[in-house]
Amino acid sequence: MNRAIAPAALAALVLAAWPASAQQSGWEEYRPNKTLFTAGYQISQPLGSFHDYTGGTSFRGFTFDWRSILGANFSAGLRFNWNRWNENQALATVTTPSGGTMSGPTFHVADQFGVQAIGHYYFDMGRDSRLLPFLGVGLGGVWSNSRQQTIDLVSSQDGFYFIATPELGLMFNLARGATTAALNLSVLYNFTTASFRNVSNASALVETIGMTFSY
Amino acid sequence: MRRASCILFAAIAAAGCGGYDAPDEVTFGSVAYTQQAPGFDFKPLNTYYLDPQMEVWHDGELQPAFQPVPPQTLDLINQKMAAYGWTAVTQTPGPGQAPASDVGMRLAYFKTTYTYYYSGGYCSIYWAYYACWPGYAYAGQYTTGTVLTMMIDTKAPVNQTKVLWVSALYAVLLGSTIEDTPRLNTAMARAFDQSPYLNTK
Repeated sequence: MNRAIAPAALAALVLAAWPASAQQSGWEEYRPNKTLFTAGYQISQPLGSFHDYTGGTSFRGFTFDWRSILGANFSAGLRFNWNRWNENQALATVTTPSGGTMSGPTFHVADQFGVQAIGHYYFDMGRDSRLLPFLGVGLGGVWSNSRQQTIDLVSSQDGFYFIATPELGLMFNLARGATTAALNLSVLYNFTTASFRNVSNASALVETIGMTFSY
Repeated sequence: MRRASCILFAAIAAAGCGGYDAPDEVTFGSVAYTQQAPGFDFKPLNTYYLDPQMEVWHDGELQPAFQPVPPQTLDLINQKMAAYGWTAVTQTPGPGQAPASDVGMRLAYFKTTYTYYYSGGYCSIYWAYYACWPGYAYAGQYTTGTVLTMMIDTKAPVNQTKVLWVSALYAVLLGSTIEDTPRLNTAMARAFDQSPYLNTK
């Protein structure tokens, strides 16, 4: 008896609830004060064991993000960024897993492609101020690809890892109107859990110069 | 404003170009790999025999005729061994006889017309011994121009071959003749320099 009643009671509950929700629009209100799009060029310096793998500054990188101002000073959005590091050593000497010694010219390359949810806080400097400093954080995933080559001997690794990115930046308003354009300068710390070869948690300091358009 | 934006986007696009492929000096460079028999102590040894003839392999086949090792390469190896305290034995062993020295060394030159994965498949007759590339040593993928060197314990019983030291010099004779030896010699010098355990002093 109870088995027969239970489905019927559930169906009645669903049918009874349906008209109630239909009376509303069913849409959440979304009226952002402003929407920002940023495209930027990035340079970066690998840190820690990642620096041992490929030292020096990378001049290959870009970022693109979308932000929606949700309150007076807060925004949330999504960011894509890509960085490539490489290093060429005329003569490197390594110990092989079997205990041997190998020496020769080597080439190391690493790519990171990150996708992050981002949040930013903007410091109010007054309506007429050209400067808009901000703090941000990004959390998401990063696809890491690395490759090592000496003559025609090649090995490579890839994987998907966690990435967290605190950010400190400054927007310099260049033009204001229906659309606002600003120069965007920021420094980010890309912490990732990407690990390969002798590298653990491949992380880097990243500098962005970009343009932000908001409307 | 529009021009500045265009310049920025062009810079971003340019940033994505290149940087993934190794430069020519890496691709066409040479690699020296060396390894000793695990735990072996070379200190008690004194004399060596260096075969003045080198094997030539083509696409995995041992060629019937050996070739002379370039004189500069022989000189280089003798200098490096002398610096490590070894004395050369030059007397050529008779057929099937072991050299009258503590160890014997021979070079093998590999020519291939295709990419070849070498994994312990190299075996040859070293005077009185049948010796193979040892399991403790790395062997990799290479195309042409690899020169292997094996050091054999010539005091060991004939049926107990011991390979004491190996070197593999990758791409040292790439696109060159056997007489064109600067790359071979540079890599060979590196092979000895990175094997300080050969020092018997």
